[in-house]
Amino acid sequence: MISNDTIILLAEDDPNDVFFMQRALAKAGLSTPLHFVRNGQEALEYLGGLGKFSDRMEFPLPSLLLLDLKMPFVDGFEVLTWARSQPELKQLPIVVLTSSAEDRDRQRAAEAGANGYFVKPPTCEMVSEILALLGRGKEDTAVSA
Amino acid sequence: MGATVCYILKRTNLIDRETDVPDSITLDPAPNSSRKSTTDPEASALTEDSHPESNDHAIQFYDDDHFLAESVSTFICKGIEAGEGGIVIGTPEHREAVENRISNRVNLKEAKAKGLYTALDAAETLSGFMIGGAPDSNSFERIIGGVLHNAANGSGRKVRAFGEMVALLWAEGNREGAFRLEQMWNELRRKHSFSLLCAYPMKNFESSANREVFERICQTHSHVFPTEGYIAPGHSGQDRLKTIALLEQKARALEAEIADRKRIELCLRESEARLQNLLEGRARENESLRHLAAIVENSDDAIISKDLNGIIRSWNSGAERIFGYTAEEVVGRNVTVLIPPERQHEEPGILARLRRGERIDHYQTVRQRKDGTRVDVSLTVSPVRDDAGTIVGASKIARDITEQKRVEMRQQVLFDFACVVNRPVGLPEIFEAALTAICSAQSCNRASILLYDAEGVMRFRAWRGLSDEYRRAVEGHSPWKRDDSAPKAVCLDDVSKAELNDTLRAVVAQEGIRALAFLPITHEGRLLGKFMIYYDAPHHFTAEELQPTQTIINQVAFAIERQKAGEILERTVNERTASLREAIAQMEEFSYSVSHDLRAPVRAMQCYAEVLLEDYGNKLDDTAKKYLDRIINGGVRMDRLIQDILTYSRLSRREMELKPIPVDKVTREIVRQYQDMHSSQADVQVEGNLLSVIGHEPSLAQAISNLLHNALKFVPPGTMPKIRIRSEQRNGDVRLWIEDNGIGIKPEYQHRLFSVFERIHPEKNYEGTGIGLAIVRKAAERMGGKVGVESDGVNGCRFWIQLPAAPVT
Repeated sequence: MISNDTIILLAEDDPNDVFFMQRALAKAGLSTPLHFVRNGQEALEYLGGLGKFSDRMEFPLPSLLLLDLKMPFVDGFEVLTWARSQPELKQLPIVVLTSSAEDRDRQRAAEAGANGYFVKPPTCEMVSEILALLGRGKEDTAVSA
Repeated sequence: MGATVCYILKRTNLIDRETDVPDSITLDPAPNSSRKSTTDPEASALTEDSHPESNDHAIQFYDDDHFLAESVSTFICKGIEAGEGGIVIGTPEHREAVENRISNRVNLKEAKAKGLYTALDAAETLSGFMIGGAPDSNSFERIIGGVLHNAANGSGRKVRAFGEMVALLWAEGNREGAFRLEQMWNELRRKHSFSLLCAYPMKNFESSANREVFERICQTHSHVFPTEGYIAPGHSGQDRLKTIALLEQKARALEAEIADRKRIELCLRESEARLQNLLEGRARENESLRHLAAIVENSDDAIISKDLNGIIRSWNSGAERIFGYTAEEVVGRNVTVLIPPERQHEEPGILARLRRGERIDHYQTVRQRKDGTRVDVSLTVSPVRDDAGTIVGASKIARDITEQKRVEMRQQVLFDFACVVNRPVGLPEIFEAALTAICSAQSCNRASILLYDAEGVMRFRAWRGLSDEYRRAVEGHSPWKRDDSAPKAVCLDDVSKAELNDTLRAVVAQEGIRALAFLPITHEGRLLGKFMIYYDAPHHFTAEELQPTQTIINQVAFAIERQKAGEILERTVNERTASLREAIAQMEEFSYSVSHDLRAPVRAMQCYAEVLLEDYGNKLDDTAKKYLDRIINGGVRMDRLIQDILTYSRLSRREMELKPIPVDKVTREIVRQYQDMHSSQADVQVEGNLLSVIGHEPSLAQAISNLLHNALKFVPPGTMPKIRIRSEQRNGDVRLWIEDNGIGIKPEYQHRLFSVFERIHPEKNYEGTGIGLAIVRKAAERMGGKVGVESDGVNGCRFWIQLPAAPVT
């Protein structure tokens, strides 16, 4: 199971959604600090440890990325595709959190290597599901290991 | 013949003849008379024996009345003495002289009393039957016949008659009357038996001009007695004898001559008639022969005769025109000189058919002229038979059908070309077809098409039979300026005589071109290029000949323009399609944005309201909580509306792959998924196995789902929704029915039902976005189907959606 040392990075340009996610996580009982970036460009920089995110002490590499799709400058798909092309990020669990319920987005996200796809708003139940998803992935890894 | 010429002619069978031309005349020189004359020089003119025989018609010429009287009285007396009747029709003087003499021999009174002697006045009697200057035969017969009848005492005795009515007519100059009367006398003797003696004063015939008349008179009589001059005193017996002998000889010779002449004349007449017939026939024959000859000679067709070995026997001018040989050149040669080598096999077959007597009709073939060129002909060959019916040769009519063939060929060429032009083919194919067509129409083997290029240079676009060198040398040359509004065709019948610059002439000569034509290709007054036609030999171009070519060129010009227009249209269509695609992509982007950006604030409102309720609920009173509920509800409705709009617009532009859909399975799945349709809340019946359709499954599922929700929603309060789903075949389609027990829709509103944002029931009890049914209709239309509703506005609705039926598997 996800423990409190799980580092979650949320890439979300809508502060409301950031708030709802924080609230949902809290309600789900996770006290882990939530790192967040406001657009795709920042997400790339954070993940790459570039610029202001170069201090890994302050901005540690996340163990879960919650990724909005529709963001200014660089969108979620680009972040997803890039992350899956980076060897050290290949195993990073990435869950798409979007307001789009469209099939094509769901499909596209899966093809790009997303581990999960959830439609906003973020709720306590959704967080539980995400955590369940990640745990199962870990168990799978453990089993296979 | 003078007045002294006189002879006795005895004619036999005269009166039995229908004709007055006797076959033969025998000479009877009255031998007794000559004998008696010699022994009795003083004898009277007519001796006893020399008188006319019974039923005879004799003529007595005389110079002296006494002689006549002597002759007549002797003639009559002899009769009376023999008991025969005697009639004298004479002038008063003659009657008196005759009767005086008769009285010397017989008792005249007694004879008169016995009816043996009758005397009539010649003039008076004559006047009894003269009508209009001519003797009337009926009257004559009645009068004279009556006299004869009396004299014959019925038919008991012979009659002798003397008449000089003829002489009277003669003296009056009425010769025709005299002849006619003589004939009447002859005719009368067919009915009455009598001897007749006529008398003519010889003085009437003294002129030689009367010879013919004299002879004619003699011919009407069976005996002619000469005048007294030959027997009168003064002539010795020897002289008279000699004279008579001479006369007899002459008469004999004349008789023979006349007979001969008659015979010859007859023969001549017959020959003449035959000749005449012959000539007429020949003339007719000649006429028709001349006519035929003229027809043959003037015929446009070649009319040739040949024998069964194929040797040409006759040759008309038509043949000379068509084949180029003169008759002198070709008559006597074999007809195979006219047959091209590759068709030599035809002739034996033709000859064989001719020998069998068959006729060959309108046999279309090709023959060869003297100059070796070919000519299309239609042959009609008929066997020619001699009089015995044996086939001896053939007549051959060759019609030059070159022109006819050319016309047919040109029509075919135009038709073939039109077929190509009217197919959706590219210009290169049309150019090739045009070259083929023009080469055929013009009977040439070289042609080309040049068009202005973008730089305004005329360049070869299609060609046939031209060398690369030639094309390079002449490309760009044009007899017209580009802005020439009415360029005319330029035809050079003979390049060697045409006005050309030396360079061009040399190039053309090098290419072996002897004649060529520049034909402008224009469209609506614009010069597009040119058509070139080339000949290896001088060629006389005619407007008539170029007509089909002109038609082809016009078609080519049209095709070029059509191609240009087509290209422009295609470009426009492509541009518009691209811009439409862009617009759709933008729309897509827009709705995508809407789905995110429009829903985000709504969701935020909704979520914050929920957060308030959850986190601060214990600090709020019920009214505040109720308001927050309303905010939440508003958010929910807003979100559903946005989603419906998105669904609708997605349906409008989504590319749909249509395939068979198992409607039964899809429908039952939908029913199972929705809580609202579970049996506790609604009675939903799916009847039988719903028929499959062709469509797009997500869109159809959306439509069915919307219809089911619709059916559930519009029920009166407190009523359990009852829904029946069934399908039916309908002309290759399947109609899916969804029937409810709802509030129904009045017919007058039904047409608005499927439009966007139309809400028939605005009451808050029946909340909706007003898009649900519009989505159903849009989905059905995109799948090639349709939707509809039946309702009376009271007893529920029966919605249907109809789509093509899926093939039964």
